[in-house]
Order: sequence, then structure tokens, then C-alpha cells
Amino acid sequence: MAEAGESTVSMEDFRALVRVARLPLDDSELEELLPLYQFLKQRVDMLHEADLPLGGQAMTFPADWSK
Amino acid sequence: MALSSELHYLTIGEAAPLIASGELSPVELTRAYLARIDAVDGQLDSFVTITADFALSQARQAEAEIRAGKYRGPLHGIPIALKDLYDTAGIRTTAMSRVTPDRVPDEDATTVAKLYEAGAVLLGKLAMHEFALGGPDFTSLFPPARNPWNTAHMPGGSSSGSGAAVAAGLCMGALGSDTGGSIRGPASMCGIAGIKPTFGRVSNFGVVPLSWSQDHCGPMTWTVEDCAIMLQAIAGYDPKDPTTADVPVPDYLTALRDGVRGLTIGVPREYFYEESPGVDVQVIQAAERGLETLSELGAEIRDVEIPHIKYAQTANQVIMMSEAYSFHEANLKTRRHDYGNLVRSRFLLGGLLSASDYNQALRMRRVIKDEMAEALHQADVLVTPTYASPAPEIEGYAGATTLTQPSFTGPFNVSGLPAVSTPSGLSDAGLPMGLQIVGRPFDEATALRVAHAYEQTARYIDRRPPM
Repeated sequence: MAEAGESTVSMEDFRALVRVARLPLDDSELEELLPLYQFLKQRVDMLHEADLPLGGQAMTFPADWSK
Repeated sequence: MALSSELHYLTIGEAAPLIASGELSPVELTRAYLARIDAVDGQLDSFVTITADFALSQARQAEAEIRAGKYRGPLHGIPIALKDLYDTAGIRTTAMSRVTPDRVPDEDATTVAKLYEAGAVLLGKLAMHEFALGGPDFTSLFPPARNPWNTAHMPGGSSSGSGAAVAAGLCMGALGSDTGGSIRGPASMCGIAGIKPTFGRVSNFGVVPLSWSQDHCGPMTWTVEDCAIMLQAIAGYDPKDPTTADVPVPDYLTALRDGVRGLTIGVPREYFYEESPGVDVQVIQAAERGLETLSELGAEIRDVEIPHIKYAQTANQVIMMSEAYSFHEANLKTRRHDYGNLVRSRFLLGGLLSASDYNQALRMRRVIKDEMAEALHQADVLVTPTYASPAPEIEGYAGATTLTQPSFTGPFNVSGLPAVSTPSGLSDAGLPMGLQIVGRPFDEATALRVAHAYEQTARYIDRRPPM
């Protein structure tokens, strides 16, 4: 969970995010899910801040792919 | 032969030669296990479906074949059970969920078909965390399984029933599945052996998916030898599962005999051996004692580095939740209240992650995979504690624990490397802990060999739960 008092995402922003994802959640579900999302978001932000080599995921085939 | 009341603590390795020689009847053995389930499982809730008639029919067939000189091998006539996400033709497969409470597959999973082919006897289907994620949840289809070492505690998960049933002597072996530690976690918490093979070594066909790129099927048993026996039966290329690799399967039992002298054990101290919130120091101390034992047995112990390891758990979770959401999206949008509370929240989080988040996790996976490969150029195996703590209590279990507690298992789902858990002792509270041995790609044999050598010296297998 996010540290006490540390809100990385407001309920208003979270509600908008859920709407974009087209998830039909009610207020009690939003309140239950927000702390988990805040915790996860902090972790995911660290992934984005990590220094990773350039280049992404590529489709690869072995030389004998047609066998 | 032993009285029926004692049969349930035989290992597969002990029972197989007795069955082969005709000294032990598969029917008698199966009846002993069904009686044991009847007597004990009311305290554990490890089985969700018991297939008594089917099991006795398989056992009778095995007995007839063996009498006719058609012995198939070490699983012939051996009573086993399956996590309830393995498809079993004609037998309900629920994944522990109200979403699929009456689902009856018309085809066996490839692993199940292979176990039948080897002559195994199916006692029934085992409890799990719903759809293989979350935790012990009283809002799922069936009550959560309990730990036979102390029934107030969880047996780990998500292969919870598999861990509890094997430890309590309710089956001789079980299949679990592992996407972030779901074989090795319950193996650690129940004091048994379990192996997550290399990604691609064992078919996932006919197994309800959680995360297509991180799901691994594997056995859970009392001893490492029994894991080797079960893995031998289920390993190999499957044309029905394109993620399986067409590589030779070695003789795992023979490899166990070689000991550890001359092997190099890599120790990634950063992350796995650091005291931090959520990590019980007892599991680190137990792992350190394990390293001492392996050193005394002749292995060289060497520190190795995996610089990006601190990101592995998040990468594991982002990939897992994104892929799980993709599989469950339609149901989450139309009938989300049929999901239990814990798994629903995890799956919904997957719907809130972005394509960029998922891709960043995949990029991190590549880096971690390369760093682990480099570490395994310096060592034959890596050794770590399996789980960050002994089993927590079920009552009051915090749903966020799987997110917040450091995961020692998830990094090896990210990299796809094979990993075995074997018991490393009991905590002050009398609960089991585990030692994890990680091998090179497709080298389950060396990981099993190290685990076996440690197990046979440490002898934690001599003590069963008080049931």
C-alpha cells in the first residue's frame, strides 16, 4: 500500500481512469481498489524510471521456422 | 506389507517397487488414501472433488495390468490429485470460482493424459486460490484449504490444496501450477518438495491460464525423488502447446545420484538475503544453514549479482495482471461479482495498467533474464530462501500481502528458469520454511540433484505434520 498520507492518485483521477477502462465499478469498489492501485502505481513508476537498454520486444523466428 | 493405516505416508519412490513386485496392491493403496481423505480432510478442506469410483476403477485396472506383467513404471497404481484448474474429461474443473462452478471439460489436459498413461490413479481435484491468484478467500466457490502443520494458518497458494494434501498424506503427489510462486510457496509453507520447471518444459494445454507467458505446471510431492518421478512423466514437447520446447528430456532419477561435490552454488545476496519489511529473518537464517550444509557436502559457494532483481517482482505482477485481465475481461465487465473479493481486485488492477506499463515490464524481463543467465555462467545453480515468511494465519489475512511482501519466487517466473523448493526447517512456531534451488534453462536435473542432496542430509522429510 502507499505510505500513510501519501496519495499518488486522487479519487477523481482514479474514477476517470476506471471510466476510460470501461469498468462499471461503484463507489465502494473504487474506494476499495484505490489504495491497491496507488501502491501498484508507485511500483510501476519505478519500472518506468529504470535505465533500460534501447530496443523492445521483437517477433523472432528460428531459421527452420517452416518445418 | 504395512497396515493400511500406515500406507498414506509411503513415498512414491518407496511404493513403486512394492507395487511392481506385487507386494502392494494399488487397490489397497487407493482405499487407504480414500479412507485417509475421509478421516482428515474435514480439517483441511484440501479436496474440492473426490473421484473415489474413478480412482478405484483405475486402481483395479493397474492391478490387473501389473499381474499380467504389464508394469508401466513408477507411477503405475500411484494415487495422485490435481489442482482444480487441470482439465479432466468428464470431471468438474472449477478453478475454485463461481464463474465456472459446473464446468466439465471434454478433454484432459496434456499433463493429465500423460499421468494416466503412466498409470497414475486420480483421487480427486484440489482446492486452490481462485483462478490461481489472490489468497485464502471465503468468498470463493469453496472454503480455503488449511495448513496441516497448524490449521489456523494458510498452506500457501495458489496451489493450496496440493500443498496441504501432500503434506498430510492425502495423496502421494499432486500437480500444482506456478505463475509467481504458486508451487514453491505452498511447498515451502507445507514442508514438501515442489518444482517449477523451465518455461516450455511442461505443456500448459488444458490448464486454466492466469498469465500465458509466466504459467508453469509442475509436481508437488513429499520428496525430491518423487518430484523427479512425476516430472519425468509430464515433461516434453506437446504439439497442442506451442510454448513447449522440442528439447530432449533427461533421466531425472539417475541425475539425483550424483551429489553436489564439484558444483558451484551462486548466492544472490542482494534482495534474497537482506532483512527488510515483510521478510522473517528465520527464513534467511535457514537458507544460510542450507548453504553451510551444501558447502560441507562439497559444493563451492560463490556470491553472484543480479543488478535489476529489485524490479523483478513488479515485472512479474504487471505481466501477470495484464495477461489475466485480457483473459477475464468479458466476465469482469458483465459478472464481476461472481469473482471472489481477492482475485477480483487483482484482475481489475490489470485493466488499469497501460500498454506502456506492460511493455516496460517485458523490457525489464529481458534484462533480468540476461542477468540471471550471466549469474548462471558463474554458477551451476542459485540458492535462495523460497518464501519470505512461514505460513500466515488465515483469519485476518491481508489481501495486499501478495503485492507488498517481497517475492523470492516471482523473479524466476519472469526469467522462466527452473526452480525447486525443499524444506529448510521449522520456524520457532513449528511452521515449515523452504530452500529454493534455481537451475539453468532446461537443467531441472541439476536443480533436483542439489535439492535431493540437501534433503537427504538435512532430513526434514523425517517429520510429518501432527495429523
